Amino acid sequence: MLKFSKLFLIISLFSFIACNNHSKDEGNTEKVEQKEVNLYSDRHYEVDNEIFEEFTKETGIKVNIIRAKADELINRLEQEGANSPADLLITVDAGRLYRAQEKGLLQAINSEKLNNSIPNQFRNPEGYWFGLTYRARIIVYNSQKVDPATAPTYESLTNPEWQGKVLVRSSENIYNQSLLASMIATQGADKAKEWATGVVRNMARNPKGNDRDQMKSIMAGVGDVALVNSYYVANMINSDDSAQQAVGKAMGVIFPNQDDRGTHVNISGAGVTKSSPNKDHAVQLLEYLTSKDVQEKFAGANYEYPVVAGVKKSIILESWGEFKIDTVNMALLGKYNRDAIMTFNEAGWQ
Amino acid sequence: MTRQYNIWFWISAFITTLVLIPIVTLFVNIFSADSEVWDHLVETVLTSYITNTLLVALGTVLLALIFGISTAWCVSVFNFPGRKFFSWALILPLSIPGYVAAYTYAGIFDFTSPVQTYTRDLLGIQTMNFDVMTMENIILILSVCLFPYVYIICKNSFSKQSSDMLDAARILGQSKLKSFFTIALPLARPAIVSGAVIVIMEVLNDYGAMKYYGINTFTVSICQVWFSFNDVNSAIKLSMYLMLIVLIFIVIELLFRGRAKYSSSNSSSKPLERTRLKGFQAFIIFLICFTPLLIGFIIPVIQLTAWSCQTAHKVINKAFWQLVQNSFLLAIFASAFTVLLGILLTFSVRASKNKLSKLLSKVASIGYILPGAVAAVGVIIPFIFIHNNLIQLIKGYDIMRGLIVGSFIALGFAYFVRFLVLALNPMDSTMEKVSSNIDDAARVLGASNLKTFFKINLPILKNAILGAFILIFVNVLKEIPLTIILRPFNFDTLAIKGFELAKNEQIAESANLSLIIVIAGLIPILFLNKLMTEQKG
Repeated sequence: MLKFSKLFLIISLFSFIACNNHSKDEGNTEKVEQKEVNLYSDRHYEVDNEIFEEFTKETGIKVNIIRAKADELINRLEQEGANSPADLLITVDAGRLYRAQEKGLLQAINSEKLNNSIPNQFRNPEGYWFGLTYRARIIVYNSQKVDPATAPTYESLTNPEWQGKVLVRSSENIYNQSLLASMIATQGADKAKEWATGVVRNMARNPKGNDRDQMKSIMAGVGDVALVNSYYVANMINSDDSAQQAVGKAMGVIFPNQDDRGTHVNISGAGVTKSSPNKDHAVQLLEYLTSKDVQEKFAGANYEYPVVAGVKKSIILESWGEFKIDTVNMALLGKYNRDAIMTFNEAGWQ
Repeated sequence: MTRQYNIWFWISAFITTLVLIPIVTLFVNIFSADSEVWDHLVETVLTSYITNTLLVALGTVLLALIFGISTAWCVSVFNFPGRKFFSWALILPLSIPGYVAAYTYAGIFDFTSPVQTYTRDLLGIQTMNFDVMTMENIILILSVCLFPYVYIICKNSFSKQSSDMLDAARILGQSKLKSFFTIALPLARPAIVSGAVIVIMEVLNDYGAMKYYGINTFTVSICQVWFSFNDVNSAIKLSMYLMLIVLIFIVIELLFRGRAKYSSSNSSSKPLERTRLKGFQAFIIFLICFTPLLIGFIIPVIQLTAWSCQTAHKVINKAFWQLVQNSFLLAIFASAFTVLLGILLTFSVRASKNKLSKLLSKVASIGYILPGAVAAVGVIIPFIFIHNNLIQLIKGYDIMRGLIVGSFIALGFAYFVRFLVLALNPMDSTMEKVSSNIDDAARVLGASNLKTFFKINLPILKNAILGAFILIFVNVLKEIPLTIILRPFNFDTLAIKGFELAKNEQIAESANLSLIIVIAGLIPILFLNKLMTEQKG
């Protein structure tokens, strides 16, 4: 029994010391004047860390990061208000940047470098946010079953010929939401709802799994076509697992709607926060991320498309060739996000 | 119990208040007006979400009870080959987060898995549609991951039951099985209920596993309301309703229990004696214990190991070991802190002899039901309030820094709010078995409350405390939503990093981190098991 009481006391003592120790540490780091920039980021890619390290080496500015879902970060920014330590909000969807801007959490940045290197369609005209990379919502198909000549567009996925053959993940997914939002923006709410209902009618099964699972299900014969993000296909083709590679390579890839409005794309981007304590550093980091040589690595490692023109793309993206991009204003993806989710719910797209 | 407002009452009231701060902060939202989002949900999806939630919750809790009670009973009353091993190994499934198990099982059986590839080759077919991602399977997976909650508490309760009553039943001609249903099970009721409540709360809180399997539950709609509709208030409101429902269940249970007492007043009672089993009977008992362990731990760990071998070269580096260190320190301190306050609360409730403080301690455990992301909001708001108001008063920013969101204090506080129930439940159900006459005897003999606590209560609570520590340690290790939003800059844990990789559809890479969580969970379980057996001997 004695032993146990001792253990108990030791642990109590331990936690007490730990608490004390900790506050000392906090104090110490505070006193050292260091150049830093604080990120709230929704990007979860390994390569980001490497690039930030190089940035620190070049500039002496330390990059501090908290990663979470954009919505959680936006909520935290809102709560923290003027005392927020964050300098830069990074998301993987234009809609969330729009939302942060609407809530007054971002500030306009006027940087000639950024304005010159990032094409208009990938950034907010007033400089509230900037796209860093983009990704396409494409259609993949079973290349053994589907003739590329009859390959569908977004709209024709609702045609009777695809009945019971369409695979797609749940409507909770932001990329599906932004695709539907782009349709609401360009074709109106009724057309968009008709489309969502049509896709639900043609679904091979209730939405489940992630984008890779949709491709695996094509191979399993559950369905013939799937809506997925471009970089997942490339990631599968480059997988360490030969079975996954086989699935990736068996996929036929279509960039839909080349004959009309173009393929839907979404950006991963960033905006400087309104309360940013290190605004100059934040802008410096943005400029660094959009410089040509960094763009190649930043976008390439995850098979995303670089926003800066003339930057070399990864080999797979090169092999898929150039494609026509839907030039709908990125801010509209955010503006119609809410309507898109309501439409999904009404259409029964789980 | 008479109503007294002594120092112990105020201590218990203080601890309870701490837990209630974030909950009350959130509760205020329930009075906000219904938004159009709310109407929209009611019109479209809410009914099916609620049905799904009930189906999964009931199914899981039923299966978890079957697994948990049967294994606890087998380990407590039979002697069979492997009993010693099972008595601690059955806790192991707890170290696997529900979403990891769900992803793993999907991976084991999906198109590119060795299982399917091999089967297809064997049968000489190209395509095969075998879908693991169904509601039945998620119920099975969650129940094998969660049954240890029931197992631990029930085993503890069975071990405190006296053999006298069972002996009496046997003498009166009841079979062992029958006396289990008529004597042991009813006696273990408080333990079973608290185990079941934890399982239900865990299921209600799950987001990752359910979403991946395409099953929309109440929690999914809470997150949808927040994240997609950007309506934090409605989201908080929904989770408050969820909390109310669970609260009502708890109150109903307490009412039904009524005046029934579960403490055995006979101090000379001997503990249960184990029957030695051999041959076929022993084999059956072995299977009963082995099956949930196989599904809930052995199979997923084999798959995780296979994935790790594939991807370790990409994941294991210096940063990886930093993650291990972060996770361990965080879990040790957070669980020690929570357990200490849990002990203090349990003891002060008992010493205060005040019904109100007992009720308050029950209310304090509802922090567990809040979906992690929502609980985080409840913590953020008061901390930011303190920060923004005090920072004007005290310019010494160094001192204040410890108190802001994104400090370890905020994070530790959040764990405390959320996991206190895991400390309270096992201690409560042990304490309920111990007649308060013992305390009174000690007091009559001149021992102070404090001395009674150290000499009498603490030793009795020993196993419950160790159990609580393990539970909270493992839970902090795998916790995601609170940690992700409340953590300091540049602070990653294994669970968070693993979740990020999984979200990025790099399941095989994330296996390395999940595996460390599993191993990390093993160490304290083994250590404490050793400690416990040593003391018995």
